[in-house]
Amino acid sequence: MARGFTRAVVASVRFLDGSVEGGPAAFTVINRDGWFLTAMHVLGPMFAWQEHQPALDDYNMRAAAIVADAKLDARKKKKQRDRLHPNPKWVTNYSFAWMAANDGSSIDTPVTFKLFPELDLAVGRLVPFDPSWIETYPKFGTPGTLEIGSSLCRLGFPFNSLSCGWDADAGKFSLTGSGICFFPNEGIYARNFVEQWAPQGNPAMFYETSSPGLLGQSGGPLFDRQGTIWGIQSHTAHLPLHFKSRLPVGDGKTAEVHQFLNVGRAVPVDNILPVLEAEGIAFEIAEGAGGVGGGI
Amino acid sequence: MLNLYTHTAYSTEVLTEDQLDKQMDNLREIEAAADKAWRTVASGTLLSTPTSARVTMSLNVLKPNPANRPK
Repeated sequence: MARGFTRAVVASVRFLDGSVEGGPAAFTVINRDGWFLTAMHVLGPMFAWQEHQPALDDYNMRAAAIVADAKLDARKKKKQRDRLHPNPKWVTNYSFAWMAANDGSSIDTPVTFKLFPELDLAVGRLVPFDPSWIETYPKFGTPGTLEIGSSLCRLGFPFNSLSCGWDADAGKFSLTGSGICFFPNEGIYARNFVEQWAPQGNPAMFYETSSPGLLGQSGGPLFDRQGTIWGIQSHTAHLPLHFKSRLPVGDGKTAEVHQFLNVGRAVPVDNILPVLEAEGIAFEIAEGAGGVGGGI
Repeated sequence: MLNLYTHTAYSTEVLTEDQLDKQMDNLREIEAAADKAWRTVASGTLLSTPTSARVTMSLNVLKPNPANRPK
């Protein structure tokens, strides 16, 4: 059921050194008006580009001035450009492909978001949007009613081998691969965890589950056996178990390796629904949701 | 209709440890820069994602390579 409203967004990034990275994350469509939820950090490439832009502009300006300087020969031009020491990992281009429809197309028009950094939450709207793109529209659980120990599931797009490239002639990213697969994993609702996610704002509460969220599941739903949404996957924490195992590291040597429990943390309905209400965004509450599969 | 979302993953090249390390380094670069930038974002900020370069969704993303099908 959750497959019906979980979709992939592919972020592509190109660095000054020409290398290109990219991969899918998730977003969760919540109503027929095209509104959706994702984790704010999914938009990281855009923030990285913003952060690098002033230095990149300055570098480009200085480099252009050197190239245009008629008094310099080619050797001196190269020498002066080498002295500029640009960071090869400045982000020069980025793009998001919002794959709302199940037909291989993507929405690549600008998408407008409301951002909530302290929650790691972004609320966006797809324009244009055709309601028939989404097979099932979700319902949300009632805040404060989920029982500890409830069986939950996370859905997103980890372990997909998309290859991102750069088409210099067209000035566009290109993607190749063999399709994008959903990958769910299960976990039980373990506890609430309050942490300072962003430096600004107040600490926020997250639902913590007994299993990790995986790279590519960020922005996807955390849902129960009825498909009711209880949260949006945010991040994974690594809790020390205070166990060590001894592993071979070559040359007959061994090393003690600390062990961790990887736990997923999701933006809870307790924080999502007030945002949607404040923004006047329609959503549906599941009847009788809450307390599913608990019993500890 | 072409189906973007499949139930089957096909094997592709296996990354070496060096390639994985490089990917992780690039991700960390993005995360570090993004973290600095969003320190200035107030709750409820309205923002658009202008695409600095459109993505071309190459159709071969939808065509599994027969050579990679399970034997």
